[in-house]
Amino acid sequence: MEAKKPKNIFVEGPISSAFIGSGIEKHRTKTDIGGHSIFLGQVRADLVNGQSVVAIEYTCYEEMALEKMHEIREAIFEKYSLSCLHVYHSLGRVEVGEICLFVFTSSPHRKAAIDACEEIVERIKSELPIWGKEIFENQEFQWKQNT
Amino acid sequence: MSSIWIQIIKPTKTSIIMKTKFFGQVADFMGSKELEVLEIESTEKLIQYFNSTFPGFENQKFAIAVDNTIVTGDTKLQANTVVAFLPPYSGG
Repeated sequence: MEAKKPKNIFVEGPISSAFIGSGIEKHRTKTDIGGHSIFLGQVRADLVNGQSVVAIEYTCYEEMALEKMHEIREAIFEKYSLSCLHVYHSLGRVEVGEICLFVFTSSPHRKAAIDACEEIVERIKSELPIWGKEIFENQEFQWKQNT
Repeated sequence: MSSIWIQIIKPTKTSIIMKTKFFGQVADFMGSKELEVLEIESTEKLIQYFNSTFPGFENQKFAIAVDNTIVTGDTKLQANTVVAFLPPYSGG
């Protein structure tokens, strides 16, 4: 059996609300779906030593990240009765207020979508080789630390 | 700032050449995202090589992936292996 090529989750720049809206619209014909759960990660204006974050620049180890995301996707489909699962993560610069992560799960009954969405977000943040550089007003930067 | 000494070695049939990749803080420290190294047989030896060649490398925090798989402990390396130095992840 041919190995599935990992889906590309990476998007250059921020994820637009139009893209998110069109994602919802695309599922209109999937009439077995009763609930969607959507998580949106937004860049926050953290204050560090009196300086505000103005943007985050994301980089990744793409090959490894896509392989790992494929593993996570397979495990989630195994664990939850989902109709659909979509993940998009920004690369490059995303300004404060813009969306950098879009996780979208769908299922016939809401519990699977809600629980799967939460688990996927946690696994993305802990297991995908992605790094964020927080850029400040004064052009200085620090590497983001996930909590 | 430390200078980088480059030795041009003509690879022989038995040379082990591997790519090392750096990300995040580690790439900033190394001033580079990629380096090719010769004749290093294990991850421990690779770390020792970087520690001695790039002062301060021993203070860097990272996990190591060999051909896209995280490894713990000393791991043997082969020709054309890709070794990545991965600082703590901060996606999402």
